[in-house]
Amino acid sequence: MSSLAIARRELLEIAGNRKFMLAFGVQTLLLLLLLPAFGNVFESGNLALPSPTLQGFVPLGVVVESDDCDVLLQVLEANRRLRLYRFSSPPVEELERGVIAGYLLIPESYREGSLTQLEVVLVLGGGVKSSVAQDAVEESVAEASSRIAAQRRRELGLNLESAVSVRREFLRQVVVEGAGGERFSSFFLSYLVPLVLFFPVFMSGGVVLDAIAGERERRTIESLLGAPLSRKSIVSGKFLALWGFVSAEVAVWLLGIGVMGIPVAKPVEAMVLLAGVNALVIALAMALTLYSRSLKEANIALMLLYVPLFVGLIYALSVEFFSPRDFFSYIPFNLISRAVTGEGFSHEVLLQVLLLLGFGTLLCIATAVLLMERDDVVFGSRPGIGRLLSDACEALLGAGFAGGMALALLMSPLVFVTAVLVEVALALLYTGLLGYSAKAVYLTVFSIAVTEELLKLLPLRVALRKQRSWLTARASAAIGAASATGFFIMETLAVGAAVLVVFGIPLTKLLYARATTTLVMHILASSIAALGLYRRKKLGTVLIVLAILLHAVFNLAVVEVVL
Amino acid sequence: MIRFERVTKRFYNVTALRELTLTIERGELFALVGPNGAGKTTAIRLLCGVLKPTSGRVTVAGMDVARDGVRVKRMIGYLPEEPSLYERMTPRQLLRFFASLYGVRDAEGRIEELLALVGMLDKADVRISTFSKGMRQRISIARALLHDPEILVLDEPTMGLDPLTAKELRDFVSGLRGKKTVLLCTHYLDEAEQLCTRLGILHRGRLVALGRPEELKAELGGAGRDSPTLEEVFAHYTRGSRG
Ligand SMILES: Nc1ncnc2c1ncn2[C@@H]1O[C@H](COP(=O)(O)OP(=O)(O)OP(=O)(O)O)[C@@H](O)[C@H]1O
Ligand SMILES: [Mg+2]
Repeated sequence: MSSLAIARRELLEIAGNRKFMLAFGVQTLLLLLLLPAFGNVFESGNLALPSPTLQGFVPLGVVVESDDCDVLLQVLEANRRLRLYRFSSPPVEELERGVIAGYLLIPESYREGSLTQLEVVLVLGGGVKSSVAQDAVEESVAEASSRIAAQRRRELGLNLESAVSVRREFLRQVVVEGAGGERFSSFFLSYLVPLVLFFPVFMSGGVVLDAIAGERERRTIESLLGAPLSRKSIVSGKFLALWGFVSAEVAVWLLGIGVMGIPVAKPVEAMVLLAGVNALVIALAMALTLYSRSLKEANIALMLLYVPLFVGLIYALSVEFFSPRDFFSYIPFNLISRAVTGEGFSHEVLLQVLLLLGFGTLLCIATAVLLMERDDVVFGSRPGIGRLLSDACEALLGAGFAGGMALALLMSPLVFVTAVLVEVALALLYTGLLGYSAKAVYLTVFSIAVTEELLKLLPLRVALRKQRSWLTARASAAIGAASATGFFIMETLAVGAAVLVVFGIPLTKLLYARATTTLVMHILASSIAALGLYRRKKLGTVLIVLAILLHAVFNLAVVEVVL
Repeated sequence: MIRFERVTKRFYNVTALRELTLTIERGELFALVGPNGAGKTTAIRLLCGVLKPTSGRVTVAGMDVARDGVRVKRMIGYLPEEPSLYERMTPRQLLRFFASLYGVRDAEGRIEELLALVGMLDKADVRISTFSKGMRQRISIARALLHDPEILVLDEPTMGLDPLTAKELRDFVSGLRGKKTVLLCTHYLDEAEQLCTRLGILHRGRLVALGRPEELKAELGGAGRDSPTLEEVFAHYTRGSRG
């Protein structure tokens, strides 16, 4: 209840702030003026904008049924704008998924050696790049045509102006008809409209700053903390207000776009997704602002957040625009673009992305609440990151055995990344010194065992330093095992990502193979090493060496199998 | 009513309060004095749940502030050292907001009543950003009294008030004796002497003296000498460096 009171006041504050309202008004006005202007420029597919000099800009499928088409193929391959993919049958599915912009069918009847009028068929997807594809193909065909005509002239003295013609077919419409009969190019819809819809969240810095850092700077936080409400409800109230405000702004813009007759294919989905993105960005901005020492520092922090986000937005949209892959459909920016055009939009992907966004938002809000709970964050002498982490470790370990296990798992990304860095450095060193030899390989494999076994003990070291009564030998071994499991998960994810990208082998297969071998080894070795660290003294050292040897032998066995 | 049990508060490397142990009974009017940086504001903030103790605990009516913060805060009216007001709001809007946070019943009537009490009815709908320091202080006082709390915590309440208004406030606080529990912190020793039933002197985070003003004076005075002033008592206990 009290967080609603906070939210209400925050909204009143924003509404009562002439600066914010003026900015909002000007932005909306600009939007209403600019969009139709752009819409006219990009209307009816006269799309000369994407730079035609870009290499391999347009992915084009080629289906060759003829066995006498060398000239045309040669010319096509020489066209730097095109990137060719050969198919044995019409790649309709690829075209629909947007993997290629179109495909060129060279029919059996197409024989450069014959004297008839030749015809190829260009099937276009109607996506943003189809007009460029059409342009490029027509250019190539014209060139092939004149070459063939010249050849015929030379050989037979015949004078045929154009030997080859292109027949165009569309899978979908290039131009989308709006409500008022206006026409919009898909470039406009899939690129500019989404960009505009992200504006409110990039403009949200001011309100976030005012709500969080302003409260601290003007000391009004003190009377809030003295009032009967939890610090959590202060954070959540402010979040609700800021999120509501920015999302309402987006809704107004979407409405404006609708009123202008610009067709947005899935407005509800677009709104939901944008609300999700806004939630994450605002929660992140709140946490950053809370952690900043002053308004000035918060300003810089927010700039460091928003600028990469904005660049990322443009980059993601552009990269997908230039070379579409399934992967890109998970990036919220691109998903919005799909929601606006309706091309390749999937509710399943939307749901997954929303879940991820929601999870991230909760994480950020939880961080903000934890920061808000700290007197040093709210009243100054702000703690450094190291101190925050150390306090977090302390809190986890204070929660007993379960906290220790959680700490081991949570530290595994750090342990893994450190291990990889050390291992790569060592491997480079050995091959540098010894060349690429068996000796270097064995040395590397052994070093890996040492590095990993020692680093996986890190969580236990932290726990032992803070000395807890519950930390028995058995608990130590369990923490070692947890650390090993965390490490294994990180390793599998990393290897899995690499394997998926390079070989296209799915993660599940790999996971099964590794869970029955590598995981067992990791857990066994780490538990032994953990016991060693707990015991210390001579026996302890022996145990750690044993764990390293076990790991090394396993690694060697793997190397033998692979090589 | 209010208990500090070996309360320590550290800010990174500064210890603002060391092992403060203090009990304030219901209906008492307790004054906390001490040099700048002695830890008075820190003690008050700990009581009001604005800060959390590094060790020890503060209880109000048997409830731990750290655990039952929300319930404790409902019982306390807190006047911070520096006005803590939303500048862009008018007094009426501000009081409405806090009335909703404290769950005040018949908020509009109560707001009217308090604005009249602090003499700010005519400015009720003017933005606080245009107010003078004294006017802000009045609004802060109205805010602290809004939910008719059992306990009043006043951090240098007469700072920045003109003499007449300061006297009015002192008379008001003095009239609360026996009805409310009041913890007051001030730099004006005569104000403390005039108002309080008991007095604590803080020095470098430690409670160095505690008792009724007459007791403290008598203790220091000894036999045969003139009774010392409270100022002399203060000087005696806070000898050495300030801050
Ligand atoms: N947020 C903080 N970070 C670091 N140190 C602090 C913080 N707040 C207070 N301190 C330190 O704690 C000590 C006590 O401060 P406090 O404000 O309680 O003093 P005070 O008795 O109220 O002084 P004054 O009479 O000037 O109001 C001072 O040394 C101060 O520097
Ligand atoms: Mg003070």
